[in-house]
Amino acid sequence: MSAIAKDVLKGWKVLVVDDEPDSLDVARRILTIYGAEVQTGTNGQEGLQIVRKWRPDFIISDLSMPVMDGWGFLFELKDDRSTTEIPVIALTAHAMIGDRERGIAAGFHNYMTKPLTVKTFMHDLLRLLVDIPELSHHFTPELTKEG
Amino acid sequence: MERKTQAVSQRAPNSGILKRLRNLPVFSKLYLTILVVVVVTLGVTGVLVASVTTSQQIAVQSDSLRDVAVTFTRSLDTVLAQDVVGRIEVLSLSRSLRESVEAQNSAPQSLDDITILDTQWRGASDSDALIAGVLNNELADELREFKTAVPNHVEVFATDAAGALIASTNRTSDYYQADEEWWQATWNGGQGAIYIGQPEFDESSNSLALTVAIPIRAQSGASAGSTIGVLRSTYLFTSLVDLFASANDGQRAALHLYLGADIRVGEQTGSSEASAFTLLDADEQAEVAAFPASTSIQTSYENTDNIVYRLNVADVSEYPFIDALGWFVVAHVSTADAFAVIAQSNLVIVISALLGLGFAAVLGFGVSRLIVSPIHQLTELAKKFSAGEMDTRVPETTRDELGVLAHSFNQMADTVTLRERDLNELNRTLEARVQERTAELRKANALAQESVRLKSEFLSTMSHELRTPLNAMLGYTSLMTEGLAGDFDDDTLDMIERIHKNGQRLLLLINEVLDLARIEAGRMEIVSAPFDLHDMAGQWKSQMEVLAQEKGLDFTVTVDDKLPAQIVGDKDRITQIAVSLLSNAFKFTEKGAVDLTITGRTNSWVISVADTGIGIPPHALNYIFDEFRQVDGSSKRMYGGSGLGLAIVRNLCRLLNGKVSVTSEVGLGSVFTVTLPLEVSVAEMPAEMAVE
Repeated sequence: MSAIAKDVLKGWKVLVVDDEPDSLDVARRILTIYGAEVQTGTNGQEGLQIVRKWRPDFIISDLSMPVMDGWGFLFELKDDRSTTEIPVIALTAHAMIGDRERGIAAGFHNYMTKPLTVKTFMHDLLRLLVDIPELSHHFTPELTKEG
Repeated sequence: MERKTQAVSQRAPNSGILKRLRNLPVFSKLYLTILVVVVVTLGVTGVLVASVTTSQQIAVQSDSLRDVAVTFTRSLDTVLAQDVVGRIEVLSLSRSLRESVEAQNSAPQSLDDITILDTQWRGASDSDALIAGVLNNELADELREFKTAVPNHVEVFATDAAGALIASTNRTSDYYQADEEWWQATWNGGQGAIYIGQPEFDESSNSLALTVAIPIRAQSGASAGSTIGVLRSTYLFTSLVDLFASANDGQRAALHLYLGADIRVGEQTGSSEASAFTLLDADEQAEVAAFPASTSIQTSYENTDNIVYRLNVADVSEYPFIDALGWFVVAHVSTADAFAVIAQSNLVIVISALLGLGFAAVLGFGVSRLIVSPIHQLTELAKKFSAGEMDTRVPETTRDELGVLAHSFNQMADTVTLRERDLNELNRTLEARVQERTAELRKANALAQESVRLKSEFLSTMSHELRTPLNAMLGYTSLMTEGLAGDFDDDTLDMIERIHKNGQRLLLLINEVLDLARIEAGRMEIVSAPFDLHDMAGQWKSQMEVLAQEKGLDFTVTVDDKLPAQIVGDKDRITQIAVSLLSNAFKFTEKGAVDLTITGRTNSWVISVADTGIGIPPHALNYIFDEFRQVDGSSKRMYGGSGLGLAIVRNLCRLLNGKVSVTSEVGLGSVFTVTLPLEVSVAEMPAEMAVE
């Protein structure tokens, strides 16, 4: 695990949406360290504006946010044909039993819980990304094997 | 045993009939009973009467026949005594008769003379002096006067003591009479006796002729009472016809009078006209002679079956002169006639029985109706009442048991009505009360639900709000400890690592507190699914191996081979329990080994975690599973941990319908044992069990 290559996310465009500046910052830092091109928004509304201008490979979104929460954001994305294919991964502090199931049922591609550490976050993220067929072109054969 | 069975099987059809009878309507029961009683009574009476009549009819007939015979015989006796003998007797008392006899006796003729005269008499004409002397003297005139006065006496004559004729109404065949049987019987050696001879049939008068003779007795002097001569008459018994007529009048029985050896009077049975006389042949004489006297017998008589009664005239007669005749009377009635009476009386019995039956049928019907119809009425009204017509009452018309029943019913109806009213009232109140209570309960329930909702909302919010700051804390420190945020000197890195570790501890604590809260709030859901026991044990081993290596401890995980590979349960919760116990074991063990074994029992399986750690003092065993308790405060500082781990283990075990227990010895180690119910997935069952 310790040997995750620093360029594992090189060439990826990732949008992170979170109303907590610290959480947003931690996620942005980690993703950037591993090579991803990251843009951020502090609510669903901002997220939507970014998506329309700058199409990410996938989106990591918090759920509880002002203006437009994660659920509304997901709904708008799925409602728009041009954005409906973009995988959205929930990253939330809602860790009660049933929360994860509700998220998957709503259409989130997957569900990760806070708090995160570099190790757990990257490990979980890579495992999720490998399973998304639309993103397979981003992975080298070695990485796929490791995942 | 066998015999008992037989008896039962024999009784079965009876009980069936009895049962059917029991289930008949009361009316039918009553009516049937009355009819049966009447029919049986009439039947028994009829049979008794019929049998008695049959057996005694002969005796009754016998009495009747005897009466007829006796009555007739008395009449005959009277006629003989008065009309036949009595008239002659009166005549014999005639003074002139006695004087004429005494005059002739005083000049007795010798037997020779008399014989000569007798011869003369037979040969002489009526004008002969001897004959004229006998027929034309004063006494002869007197005798003829008598004959005229009493016409049945057709020939009367008198003889003297020697038997020679003195006077006669007619010319007799002989002059000398003493050689005749009747004369000698009458003379009776000088004693004198009344004589009646056997009758002879007189064709000219179509009647019987009787010879009657009486002694003529002296009336005065020394010889008074002595026999001096004989007076004789021939009597034509024409009145016998009338005798039969009166004797037979109104009688079913017929009479025959047997005279002498061979004459029978009364030819035609039951006819008053005929008084024919029959001369019997030898067979008939024998037949009649065979009848016992004074006894009724049933026998063939005149070629038909008869009841016959024979009465000897001598048995009834008061007169000795009749005794010698040997006459007897036969009264008889044909068996057919006699039993016609029985048939008739039987017919009467049958008719009266039928009438009685009809009467009983009508009366029984009426009485049954009388009894049953009030019951019917009562039943109908009771039905109405039970159908809900509470104001139904029965008319109390009679004062008998049915009246009492009706009265009781009405009383009961009153009570029930009253109670019903009370009950309705109570129901209404009760309903109101129930509604009230329901509303209260609903409110309470809503409150409780609201409280549960609030509680879990609070938990959810707490979880979220505690995790959010930890996210930043752990995220940043992990970046720094991973060397992804620039280089730090060792001292700084050490501090950052400590911050990170404490953050982890805080996260663990938060998770545990939330777990416990969820369990206690009933929010911990148990998901049962099949899983592979060996896989799970393997995961535990690899997950905890690090801790063993860090402390240099032996660590083994063994699974009983007899357990099924796949069992059903909540794998995540079981893992949580095992990890918690293993964490504790590693935490409190400095050297030696930690061994986890999984074994199977009949209906359960057991996870035991044994260590060679510090152990737990006995007094602590009691509260080791309580929240926030460790052995003592110092151990918390020394070993870390929230003190919630075992509490969660205990609660999880309860949720999984299992239990956890511990044995320990200070300085030697502890053994935690978790027992869980064994559930096997359908796919894992042995073949024969799966089929079932």
